[in-house]
Amino acid sequence: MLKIKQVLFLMFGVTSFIIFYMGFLSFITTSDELMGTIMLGFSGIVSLGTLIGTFYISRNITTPIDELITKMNEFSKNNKTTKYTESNYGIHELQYLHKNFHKMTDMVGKTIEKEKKLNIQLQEIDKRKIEFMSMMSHELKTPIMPILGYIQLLKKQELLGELNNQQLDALNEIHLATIRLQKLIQDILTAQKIDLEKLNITKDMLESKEVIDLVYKAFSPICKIKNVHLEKNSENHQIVSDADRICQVFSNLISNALEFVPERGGKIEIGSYEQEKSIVFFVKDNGHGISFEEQQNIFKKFYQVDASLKRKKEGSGLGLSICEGIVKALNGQIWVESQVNFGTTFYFRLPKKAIQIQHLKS
Amino acid sequence: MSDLTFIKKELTVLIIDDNEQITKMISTFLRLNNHKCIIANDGEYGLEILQKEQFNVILLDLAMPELDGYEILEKIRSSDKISKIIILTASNITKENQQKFKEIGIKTILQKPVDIDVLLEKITTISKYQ
Ligand SMILES: Nc1ncnc2c1ncn2[C@@H]1O[C@H](COP(=O)(O)OP(=O)(O)OP(=O)(O)O)[C@@H](O)[C@H]1O
Ligand SMILES: [Mg+2]
Repeated sequence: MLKIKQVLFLMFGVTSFIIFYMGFLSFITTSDELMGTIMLGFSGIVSLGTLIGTFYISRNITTPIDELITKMNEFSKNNKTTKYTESNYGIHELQYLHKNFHKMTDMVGKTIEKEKKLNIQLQEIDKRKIEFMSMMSHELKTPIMPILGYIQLLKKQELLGELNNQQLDALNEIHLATIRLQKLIQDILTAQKIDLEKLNITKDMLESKEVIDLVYKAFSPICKIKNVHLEKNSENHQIVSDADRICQVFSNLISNALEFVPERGGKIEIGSYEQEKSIVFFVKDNGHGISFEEQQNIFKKFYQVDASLKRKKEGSGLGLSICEGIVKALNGQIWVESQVNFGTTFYFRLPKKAIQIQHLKS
Repeated sequence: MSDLTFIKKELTVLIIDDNEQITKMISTFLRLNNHKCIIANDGEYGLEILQKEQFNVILLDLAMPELDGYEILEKIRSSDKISKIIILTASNITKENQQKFKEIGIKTILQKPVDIDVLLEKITTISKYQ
């Protein structure tokens, strides 16, 4: 790579040498001695002048450019430059360049400053959101306790006296609605935690088969009641992850499957297998399936396919978005494969070794 | 079943919780099950009565104005009463705090809203160890 200095000296050096050489030639070839001496002297002065000029120009060009380069480096390192001082560079364009460079860095510096302030403000807002959330969580959960308690109490007819059928009916409705409300509160709070990246995650060494067994045990009774055949199918592998959270995802997926399997001959299969460096868990059902277009939407918050038509029970559309949030917090992926009228399989893949699981505690 | 004698045993339960609806509901339920209940709707009174009298089981809420559950635990942490405490809270408990509670000898932590049958079961279990 050439430097400006070198280029200048090369160009003007050669020029001055040629001038001097021509003067010298005319000096030895001319018969007029005076004329020759004048020519020699003149060419000597011109070439010397050229050299000095080159030196001067080169200094006036390269010094400001070098300075500019230093300042640029400085700026790219810490977003600041030394203050602009009105230095007098011989060359107008370079001085202009300097001035504008400073104008630009000033502007960029100010923008960065602003952004930093904004960031601090955002953090403050986040903090307040979290405080608000934990307060709200507490305030919402507290009144559910006496409501549920008294419902249960009233249902214990041996303690508080007999209810007639209509009263019992009314009480059952209240009970169902309260349970729904409780689930909704829980889900909203979990979704909010996921949004604020405040989901508690713990990592332990787990056996995938044990996790599946646990889920199987938990859901066998309800499947029996609903006349749905529950099957488990699991290889055993070790995985470092959060068992409670995995169970939570399974619970959401199985609850969904239970709602969409046919009244008769409903089948749900749960299991896990190894794939490269991860474990894939799945919940497979023989329900009515999800069309390809809808598959793009179901993980969105509050999204429900044909809420009025096919479902047996009301939901809020938070289940799958929560599953996705949890799986992501565990550094995994969740996806769905489905064929309308044949069934649906939800998969989630988790790394076997915890790649630095996000520790999102307050 | 020999356990039946334990379940039938009359227990004295202290409930420390600032929410009056909750203390009323739980005490109604426990009394209907033939247990005795003392209610403290604030931390100060709770701590006072806790230090003065004997109980089989103590239900303790964490978030309370003024003296809260954590402070009460701090004050009685070396007493043998700690093993009689069931924490009953609507607040989120971090895993670290859970660990701390275990270390000082608290066996049962329940999240509100808790099923009252589960609550009764935990109360009888705790009283069995005494
Ligand atoms: N196994 C399944 N078979 C067919 N459709 C499904 C299945 N699982 C989910 N869906 C569709 O995806 C939608 C979103 O599911 P999601 O679990 O997020 O919400 P939800 O079950 O409606 O409500 P929530 O889970 O909050 O009670 C459901 O409304 C349903 O239309
Ligand atoms: Mg769901």
